[in-house]
Amino acid sequence: MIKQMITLTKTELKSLYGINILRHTSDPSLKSRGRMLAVNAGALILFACLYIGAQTAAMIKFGAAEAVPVMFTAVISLLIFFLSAFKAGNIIFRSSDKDIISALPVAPLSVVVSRYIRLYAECAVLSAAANITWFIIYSANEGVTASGLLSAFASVLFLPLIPLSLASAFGTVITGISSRIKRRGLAEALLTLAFAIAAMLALSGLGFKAESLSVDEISALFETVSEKITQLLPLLKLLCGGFAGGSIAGTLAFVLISVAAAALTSLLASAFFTQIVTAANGSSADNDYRLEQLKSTSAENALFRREIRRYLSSGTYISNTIIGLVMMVILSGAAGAADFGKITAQIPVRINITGALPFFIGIMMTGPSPVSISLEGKNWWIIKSLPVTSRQILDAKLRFDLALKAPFYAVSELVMLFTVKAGVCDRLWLIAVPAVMGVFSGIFGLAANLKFPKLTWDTEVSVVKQSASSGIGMLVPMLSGIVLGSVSLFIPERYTPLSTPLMLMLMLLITAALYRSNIRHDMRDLS
Amino acid sequence: MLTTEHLTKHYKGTEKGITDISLTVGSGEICAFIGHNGAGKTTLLKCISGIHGYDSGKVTVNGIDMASDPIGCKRSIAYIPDDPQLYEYLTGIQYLDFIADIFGVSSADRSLRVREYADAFELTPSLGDLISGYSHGMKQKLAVISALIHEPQLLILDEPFVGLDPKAASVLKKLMRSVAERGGAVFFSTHVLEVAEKLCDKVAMIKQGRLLASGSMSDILGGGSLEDVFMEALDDKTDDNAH
Repeated sequence: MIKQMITLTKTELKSLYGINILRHTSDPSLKSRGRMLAVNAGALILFACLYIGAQTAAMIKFGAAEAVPVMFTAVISLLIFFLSAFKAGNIIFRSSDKDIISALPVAPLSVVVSRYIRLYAECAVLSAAANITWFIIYSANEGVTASGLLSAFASVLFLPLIPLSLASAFGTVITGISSRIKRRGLAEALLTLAFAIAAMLALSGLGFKAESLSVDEISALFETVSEKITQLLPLLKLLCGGFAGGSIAGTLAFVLISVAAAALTSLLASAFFTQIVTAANGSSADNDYRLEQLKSTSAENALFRREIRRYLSSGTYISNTIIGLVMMVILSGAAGAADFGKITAQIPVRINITGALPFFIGIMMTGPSPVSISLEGKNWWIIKSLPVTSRQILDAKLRFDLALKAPFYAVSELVMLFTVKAGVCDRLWLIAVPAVMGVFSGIFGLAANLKFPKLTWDTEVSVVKQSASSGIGMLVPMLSGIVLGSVSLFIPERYTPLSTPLMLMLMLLITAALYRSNIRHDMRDLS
Repeated sequence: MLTTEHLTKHYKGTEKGITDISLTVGSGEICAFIGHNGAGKTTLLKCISGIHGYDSGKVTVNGIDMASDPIGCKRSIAYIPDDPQLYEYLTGIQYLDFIADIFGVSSADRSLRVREYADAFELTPSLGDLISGYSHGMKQKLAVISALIHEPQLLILDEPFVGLDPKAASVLKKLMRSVAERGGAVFFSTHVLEVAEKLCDKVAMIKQGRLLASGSMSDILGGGSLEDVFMEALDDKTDDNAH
């Protein structure tokens, strides 16, 4: 069985990020796309390390060095958990190679272990880079001990195991339940979202009231949060004891528990593997269709309806693209509940929260457009062979992107209009800015997908979570919102009626230029 | 109906593709396109149907140039690939409705044609089921119905008989003939030389991306069988290359 696991794991890792395709392709454009992707991934890791490094240095400066290990191991664990929870079930119970795997003399446990290792490999690099970064800065300040080094080693290698195991267990339960429901995609998305929101609410116990924030209390605050984290995630206490020169027994216990959790999850998933994969791939055929008069509609409507049906067919597509919009509604409620007057009074620098708020709300207006072309996958030949223009194809995708955002935008706006205390002009920006940012992110997403299409894939997860277009299509609109919001934060309120429309105009001009460029794209070039 | 002039298409970074292909398929004709695996048959069919762009040369369908008016060209074409990957999240009837909407087929016409073709292929009872539950043959039948639903003037098929049961293959042959009889043209690739010989008016042969021969079936055969002619053409070309 070990040999089976090694062979299957090798195959899994070869398909990771399309590495094997890039190694063996002779297509120069594919190779250059791969190089660009590698540079982007490298830049992302570097950016994450710089950010973590700066955060670690800041915590040490505020006298909260002791809280560093707990804070960062907790943040990294939670990130791994949330990033994996949306894909674990789809990777472990992947159906694209079901027929090949079923025909081979391999045990379900071997298949599950190989896929679990794939999930581990996907987050190991970023997790290791982040752990090494904070540990270097932390130990430069606090000194290096043997137990600290052992704990750091354990963090780098074993920290992802527990969050990954939890995510895989949730994935198994969600895929197991949804595989028995007729509208599988929708059921899977709703269950995943419900679980994500529940997890977020459970973690909200770690929060603290912003009104109580003061510079002098920061050190004490970190300690309090650190204590709360270890209460909620007691295993981190075992690992982090080693950093403070504690016993290595705790670190070893953490490693053992992590490996045991991985083994247990793999056993659980393998026990239900055949059942779930069979149920998830079964289709009910009524075989009693009676043909009646068919109705016609325009080509544009037909393309739009097809987008809706494509979306509703995939739990991965729904859950990964709707979470930002759900967060927008939650953030709007939080903004309504917050007292901006109190917050600004406690910050030494004068800031304009009301001016920046529309941009920070708008950054959540990301939709499905960055992956909507890639998800055509093997069906792309259909669109390419039909007498439809690039504009018709892209308009249908944009229309769907905006239609999906519309109800969340409406709820979010209603909540803010009734709760946020702001003048008439600021209320107008609260309506206009997120709307413009929604259109911008929709059109930018399509541009990113046209630039980085990924039409060959074995699982939707590799498009929705790991493709260049999904990353760029989400990050760039988000960073644009963060930059504009941060600038607005420091623009005095009396200038907001001038600065905000100027920023909006700039965004609209870029959006219009991107739209023109998109619709001129020759779809035959995408392969 | 279909003309290609000096058509050349190479995949980036490789020698694979087609070179200098010139051929014609007239109205009322069925033309078979034969060649070994990897010879460039699918590449040519995809260039003609507007799925692939090409490096040089010209494709004209019903007098319309593919390069200058691809949408106008595609309105006259229906293409069926060798492995029809259809939208698995749609039911059969939703897929047919989608294609009919794109081609602007009226409500009455589509109802009539779906009934006729789906009944002929015995697919009507399954039209309400998701395509994901269809067998390869059922997908092939659905792809054929979707191709015929807008009455194309040029029908392009890549290995259309693979996966079809004998009855469905017979129905398809009749439908191909009816397209030709109403003034359209059919251009299809196949490895089944007996079918090509019996069904087609014309034949084109390709090897390593280059056209070996093209013309009316009777001229090409010259009294022999298509298999003999094809094998001979392959050998001749191999000898030429050796010398």
